[in-house]
Amino acid sequence: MIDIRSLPGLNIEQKVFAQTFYNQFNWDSPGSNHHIFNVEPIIYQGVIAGSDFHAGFYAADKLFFCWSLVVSYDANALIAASPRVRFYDELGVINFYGQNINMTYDSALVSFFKQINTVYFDNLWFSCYDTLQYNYMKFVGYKITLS
Amino acid sequence: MANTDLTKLPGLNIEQKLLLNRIKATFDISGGAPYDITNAQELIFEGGIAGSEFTVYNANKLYVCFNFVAAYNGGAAAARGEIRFYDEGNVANMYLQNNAITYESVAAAIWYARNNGVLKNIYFSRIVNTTYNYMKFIGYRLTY
Repeated sequence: MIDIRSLPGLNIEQKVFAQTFYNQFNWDSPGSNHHIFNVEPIIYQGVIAGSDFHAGFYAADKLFFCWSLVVSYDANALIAASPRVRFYDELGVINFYGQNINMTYDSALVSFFKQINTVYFDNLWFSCYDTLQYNYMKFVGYKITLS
Repeated sequence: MANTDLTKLPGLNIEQKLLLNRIKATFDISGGAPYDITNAQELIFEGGIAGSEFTVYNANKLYVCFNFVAAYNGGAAAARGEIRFYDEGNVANMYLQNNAITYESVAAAIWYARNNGVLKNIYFSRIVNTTYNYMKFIGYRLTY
């Protein structure tokens, strides 16, 4: 099984990230969900909905360890609704957000409109996430199975 | 990979190693033609997107990209900028936008300024550009 901490080529931020992640999730015996049972390398480019990453597929024994996550939108998003990414921790509790909005005021419609730009994350862990508006993603990292 | 095994290149960072290992595992299945990579061609490109090889789909061609930058050579206008990336089956699977918008009271319309958009460590078979018209690419053209 891959030990992410021991991989060659990590920069200092990645070393800190990996070491701390293992300290947090690999300190107890199997059956506690604080024991790393499997590490699976994953790359994914595609739709968020229905993917393993989506909050609808939360599992207490599943985490994603991410070197790079990019979330994007596939259309003209000049609309009133705000985009948002919500990340969930190992217990299914929201612990981080992401958005990259540019917006403008339309005096004819007396309303604000939003443009949904691509948003980037690196060195991030989560159990799952959900989004408003954002519908495509790129992921480079690992699927962690706990036991 | 028959000609160049990208996974063994020196100087790769951990994200690049992971990407290339997965690309190799997916597209270089031993004896599994058509997924049998026959060539990996180093490629850098700076120039216009229109007419470039990146816009042309070929079922036997794939780009693995360390660094992609999309740019626009003009000012604000009515259309947004977007790059659409397609997978090996010619299905769009990733998008890139970095627009700033404002309301232009004289024209009574919302206008877009298309900032440069950047993606690192991505793969694609082709791109489709909306408004963005220049690009920079550093990576490899895989033939399989």
